[in-house]
Amino acid sequence: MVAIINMILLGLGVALFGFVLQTSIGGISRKVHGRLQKRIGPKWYQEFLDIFKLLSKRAISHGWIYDLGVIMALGGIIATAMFMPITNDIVAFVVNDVPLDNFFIFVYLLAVGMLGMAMSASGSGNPLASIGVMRALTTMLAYEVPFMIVVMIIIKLSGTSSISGIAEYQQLAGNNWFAIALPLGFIVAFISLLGMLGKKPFETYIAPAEIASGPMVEYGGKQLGMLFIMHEITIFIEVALFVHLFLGGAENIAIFIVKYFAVYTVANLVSNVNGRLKIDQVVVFFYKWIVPLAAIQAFIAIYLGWVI
Amino acid sequence: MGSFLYVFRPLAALFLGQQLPQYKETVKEAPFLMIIPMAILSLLNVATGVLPIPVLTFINKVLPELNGISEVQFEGMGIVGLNGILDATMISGIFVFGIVVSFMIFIVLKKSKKVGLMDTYTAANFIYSEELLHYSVDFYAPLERLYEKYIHIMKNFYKYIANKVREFGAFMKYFFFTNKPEITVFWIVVLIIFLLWGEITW
Repeated sequence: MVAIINMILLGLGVALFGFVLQTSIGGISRKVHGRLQKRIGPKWYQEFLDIFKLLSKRAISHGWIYDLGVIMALGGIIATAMFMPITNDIVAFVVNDVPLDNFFIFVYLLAVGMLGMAMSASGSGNPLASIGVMRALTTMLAYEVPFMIVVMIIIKLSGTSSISGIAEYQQLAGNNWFAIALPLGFIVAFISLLGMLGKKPFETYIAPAEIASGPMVEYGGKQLGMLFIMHEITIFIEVALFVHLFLGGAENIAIFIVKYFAVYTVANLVSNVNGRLKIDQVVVFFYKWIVPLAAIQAFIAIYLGWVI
Repeated sequence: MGSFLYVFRPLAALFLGQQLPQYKETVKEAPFLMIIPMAILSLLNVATGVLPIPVLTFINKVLPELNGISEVQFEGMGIVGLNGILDATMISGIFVFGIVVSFMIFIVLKKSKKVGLMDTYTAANFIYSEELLHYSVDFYAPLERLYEKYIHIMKNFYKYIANKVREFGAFMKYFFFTNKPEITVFWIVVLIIFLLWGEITW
């Protein structure tokens, strides 16, 4: 019993760490974004101020689905973050020395959180929100296929689907990071990551000037604050997954933070020099260029065995 | 994800979003007897997802009878696959825990004011037909545009099959389901020939 409570507390700690880390790095990224546009940019802790202001305000509600969806979204994402390993040793759920951080847990639970948000947004009754949800789900359908192909290659090569197991496999002598071993797969996964984070070429479902922030249009007050928290933890999960799968994980927290910061900042820089694609262009782009690239990588890595 | 995208369309069209004014009075809850089987089915669904072990042990009893399929392995509550362990019960437990945490955050904060579904922000656009902006309108447009150039191949094929089926139906209708006297006479003649043929050979 004590062991279970310890595991859950560690998991909550991981989720909280992820929230604080991503919110600070998000603030720094806003500053970087500002400098690129020759502005000074907001303070690095601006995102914390935004979230806590929103949480303290009085909000409106569009019925119980609207509230339930927000609770489900945040709950699902917190549950997902609890499974995320930070370093090789900090894994919340370990039974009999086997870490329970299977990749498929993240696939399922991440989707549950997203679907809670989709349910809540279309339950708000705003037509712009339902357009945004439709676009978000379509984008998800586009980027998940190539990403899953690349992850399947990684699972096939490393022989385990545990995230910390994959990270340790890359740290063994004689094995490269999968970013170097699977260069095409790395490009595919990075472009999919841009789609996951909702960064510029693929931020069709947010589209502030066109559909008024899409799914978020009807929210305010504590619901919006909770969705912001959910958004930060989601980004933490996605970027941390990328670090563990492709950049060899981390031996200690400092290395993790450095790698995390590098990945998020590069994604942010790429997004700053791009325009926004239309939703059909997003789908065509992924299915026409990225899926074949992933398939070529699978062919090279598995049938020909050319893994550096 | 694809399967959910498919299910979400009727889900959103039926339960979510704005209620059109013409259905305000006519929509009502299903009778109790219809709800019971649906509840049983959905509870069974959830139960097998959360606690897969009893169902899988039953399946394990059957599997040796089919040659070449090995049994599903367990460890504790988890299912052991080729690449790792997946513990459905624990995942659902943690999910419920996450929901509880987020519900606690929700309930501690200020209570929100309730507003109607039609009272929404539309970015200064006047929405004159809600149907056009509905989630399920033009749902497959991106995919359709993706295969725009090739879509006519399947379309022509289906049109061809439809034409053939229609011709066959017309043929059957002409010979079997008609009031025309000449067809009746034709069938009588065929029947007589058939009977006579039997008479001769027997």
